Amino acid sequence: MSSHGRRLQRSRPAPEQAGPAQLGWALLVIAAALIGGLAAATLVHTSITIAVIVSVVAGGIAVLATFWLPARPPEAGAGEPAEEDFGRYPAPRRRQAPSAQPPTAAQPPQALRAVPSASFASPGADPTAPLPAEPDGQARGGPPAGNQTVVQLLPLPPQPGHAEPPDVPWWDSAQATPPAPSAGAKRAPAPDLSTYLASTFIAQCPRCGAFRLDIRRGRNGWDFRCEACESTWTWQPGTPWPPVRVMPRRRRE
Amino acid sequence: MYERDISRRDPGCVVFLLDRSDSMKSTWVNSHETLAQGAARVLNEILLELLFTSQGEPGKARHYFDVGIFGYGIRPMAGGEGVEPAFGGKLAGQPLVALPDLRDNPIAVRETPSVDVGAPPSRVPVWVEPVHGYRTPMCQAVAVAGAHVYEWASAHPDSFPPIIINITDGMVTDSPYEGANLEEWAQRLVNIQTSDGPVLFFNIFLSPMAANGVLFPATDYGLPDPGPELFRISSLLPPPMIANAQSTGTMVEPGARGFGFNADATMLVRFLEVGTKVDVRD
Repeated sequence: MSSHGRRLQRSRPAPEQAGPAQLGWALLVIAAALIGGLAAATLVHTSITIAVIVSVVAGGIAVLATFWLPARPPEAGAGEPAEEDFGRYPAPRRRQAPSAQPPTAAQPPQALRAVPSASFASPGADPTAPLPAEPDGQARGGPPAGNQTVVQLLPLPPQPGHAEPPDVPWWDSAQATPPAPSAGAKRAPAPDLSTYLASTFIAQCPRCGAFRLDIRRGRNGWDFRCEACESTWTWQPGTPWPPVRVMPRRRRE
Repeated sequence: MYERDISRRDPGCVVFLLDRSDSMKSTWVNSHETLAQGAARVLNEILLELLFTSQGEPGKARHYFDVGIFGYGIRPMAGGEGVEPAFGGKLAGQPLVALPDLRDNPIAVRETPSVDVGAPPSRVPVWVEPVHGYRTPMCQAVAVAGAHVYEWASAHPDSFPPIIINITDGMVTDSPYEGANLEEWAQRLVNIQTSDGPVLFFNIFLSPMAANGVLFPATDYGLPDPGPELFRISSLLPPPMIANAQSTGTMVEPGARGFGFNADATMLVRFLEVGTKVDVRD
């Protein structure tokens, strides 16, 4: 049994709890067997005592076969309680069955058809968790009571087209590897930065030597303004940088 | 990685996370602008720059980019504190907007004084308005934007990876958010990737004092809080953006990250110019 299954159970009534109707039927069967036995003894000229004993025994066996044996589960031995698998739940205590109408062959046990599979379709439902108590205070998911029939419910198979639940957060989905580029995807070569550091110098104010400069593209090159001494000058790429004099006293900050 | 050109077939994605907390009401030194006003103005300028870049024929914009702006802090539309798309007008509530739609739907077109002496005032479109209030739910901003970025990356697996730029002036106030701190949310964000590489996550910390600002540092040495944390969660500058920085005269060292600290409005402009410029082709 799957540990995620849940069992419901409905027991058959005990023989001693049969109603008056069953008792009448039993007596009728025994009487019929007795009449048949006496008739057979008359025909074959045998002992009436033996015929009565055989008839009563045969009638009793017929009564048992009709009203008692068909209701037992196949794995249970006659006269002893069935050893049932209740998973992690403890074995239930037998309770006296209520005085209900016993099931007959024409009446399938209700629990076999009363639990729709859709009732377990909720993704958050834990099949092993006890269900809320019924209004009468009996927990449906607890240990099966003695008056229930065992059925096993399996988890629903995944719905087609839903490989993963729809509520997967984006940050979990984003963990996947990057998609492969399409065949027609075009790439631009990355800028060549191999000579970047070699061709780069640190700009410094020629007037005071400060490094905090404001730079804008001008008409004749780049317009610089020193944020420390407000000095301005223009520089064209390819021309030498103006000579720098480090004069902190000229700075205003 | 990061070698893919932007094209109409494989457009790019630029997302801005805009701090709209109460502290953005501070005024920049030597300026009449608050941090919120300056950030909104610079954002509008960058959006206009993107439109210029994507202008195929006069008066038209090619769909080179999808753009998103998520404000965190006060929510002008929904009310209260949280995260919501920061576009206004007809684009209100839209998380990502294609450039042609952006071009056609500004909130307003306003006149601003021209930087050139004697020139007539410029007419500039406005898509984002400055607002401020409440605290700084930065983690939630990453979570909300990340969902849209993930969807975008799934739909554009061959594109240049999305660029997310976080503009803030304060300490994160919602870490941990849903069980993850800011660094973990940033890691989740950069786990998103296209075939050209992981998402780029850049951060710039504004300061009204505008002193000792740094751009694209290669180390967090000497930075006060929250500098080291923001440095750690910022992506390395990829080669195209190092070239961008070089072309604007910004000196960057190997290992430089897309991070700015104690930035003023000028540095914010330069930061966004470097972080949003990607080569485009047809």
